[in-house]
Amino acid sequence: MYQNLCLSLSNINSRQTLAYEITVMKKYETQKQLADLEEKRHGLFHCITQWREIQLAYIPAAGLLVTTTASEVLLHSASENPLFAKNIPLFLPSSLPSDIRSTRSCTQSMGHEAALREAQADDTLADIRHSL
Amino acid sequence: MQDVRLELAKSDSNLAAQGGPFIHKTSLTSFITRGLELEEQQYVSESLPFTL
Repeated sequence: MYQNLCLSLSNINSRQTLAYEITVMKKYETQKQLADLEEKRHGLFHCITQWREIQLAYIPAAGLLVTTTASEVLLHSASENPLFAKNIPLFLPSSLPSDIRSTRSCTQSMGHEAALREAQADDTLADIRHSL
Repeated sequence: MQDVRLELAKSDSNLAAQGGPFIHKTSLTSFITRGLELEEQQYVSESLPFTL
């Protein structure tokens, strides 16, 4: 079902793009700017879609949430306020509801996420100290 | 960050070597790392003067 939704999302992408280009055309007039923008949008969306496949393998209990989100993206795609790639919830382990977080498959993922987030925060703090 | 990734990747490998279940060709560490990168990309795009 999720794959079907992704296929549908790809199909409606061109319509969404057209509507979006009309919106931003006033601010970004060159074709290059528009092309760069579209490539970035599509790239991020594609990366999230690819990552979902791995997510469902490691945290199958998140399947319903992921499918519901894909449906919402599809539903809003033709509206005036489409759900852009930057607003699509990723559902990293720590952000999942408690009933899913307590599943066996999610516990290990949460441990990895916590360790990597702490390392990420350390790196960011080091960068800030370095720039002061 | 890289040293933690290495440590976790070794842990993933050890688990697989001990007969742990094969879940995906992408390791758990790579999966979470990629998720955090995507999250960062989403935050960065918030600050751009256009909508991704």
